[in-house]
Amino acid sequence: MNFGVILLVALCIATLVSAGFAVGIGNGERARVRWFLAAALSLSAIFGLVGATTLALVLLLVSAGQGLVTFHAIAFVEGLDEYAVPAPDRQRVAPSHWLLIVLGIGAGAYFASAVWGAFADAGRTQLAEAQHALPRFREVARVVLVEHGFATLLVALLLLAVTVATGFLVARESGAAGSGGATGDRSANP
Amino acid sequence: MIDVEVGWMIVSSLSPLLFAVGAAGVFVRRSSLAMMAGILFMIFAAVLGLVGFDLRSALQGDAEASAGQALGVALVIVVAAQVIVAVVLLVARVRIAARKADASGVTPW
Repeated sequence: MNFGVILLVALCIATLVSAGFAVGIGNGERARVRWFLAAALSLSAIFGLVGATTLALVLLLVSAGQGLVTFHAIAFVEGLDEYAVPAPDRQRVAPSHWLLIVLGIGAGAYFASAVWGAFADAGRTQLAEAQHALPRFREVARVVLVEHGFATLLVALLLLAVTVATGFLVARESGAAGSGGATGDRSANP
Repeated sequence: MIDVEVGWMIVSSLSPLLFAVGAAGVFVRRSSLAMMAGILFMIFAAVLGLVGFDLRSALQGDAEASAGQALGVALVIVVAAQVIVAVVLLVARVRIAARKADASGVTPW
């Protein structure tokens, strides 16, 4: 049994333990997010070890974005000032703050797509033929972008629609919460 | 890179275990975030299964061996979109509960 197999088994155990803590034994909501991220990173490493390098890269980026959004959301709900905007301006600034986060994640996804497309394009050149370190990367990218191009387009459109809808939803919700909360405070403390 | 056959065996055994952990989290836990994480682990188990069958196809010399990975990539992207919506709805629900609990003094989170 070589070192790679031992590492793979260790990562499988780490994934299961992290998953168990994330859904069952985690202490507090933010601890659950940390355990979830640990499991996702272990899974990403497993994908890389077994040769699914494209999937490993995508999972790494997506789990980082998920962790950022979830962790920030929890911190925002808990009212932690180091993660949210300053308390006196929180209700007023929150909509644009959230929009920036959502749009930033969308921009990151498009950036990842651009890098991904650049790799796929480079795969058609002689230079990329020498990239033996990522032997299946170009093959997966070719399958996704060329053979499954319509499905990829649908997924991209879905992601774009969800991002825009989420931005509007958050802006409306945060705006309503800001005005309603302020009204509630005034009525509670006249 | 790991040998294809060993990788297939390990990944195919991890996939049902991870799915079981996720399903247990969904059905046992009452916390919204824990249930959401459980659902995500179930989906990741499905992605692991896709990669496992992809490795199995590569072992058998199938020319379409990367189709499983391609489907896994698409699935991960859809999951990302799903999580964004889920977190926003979760935050909205908690904030509404927080406003309602202001008068009663009950901690909503």
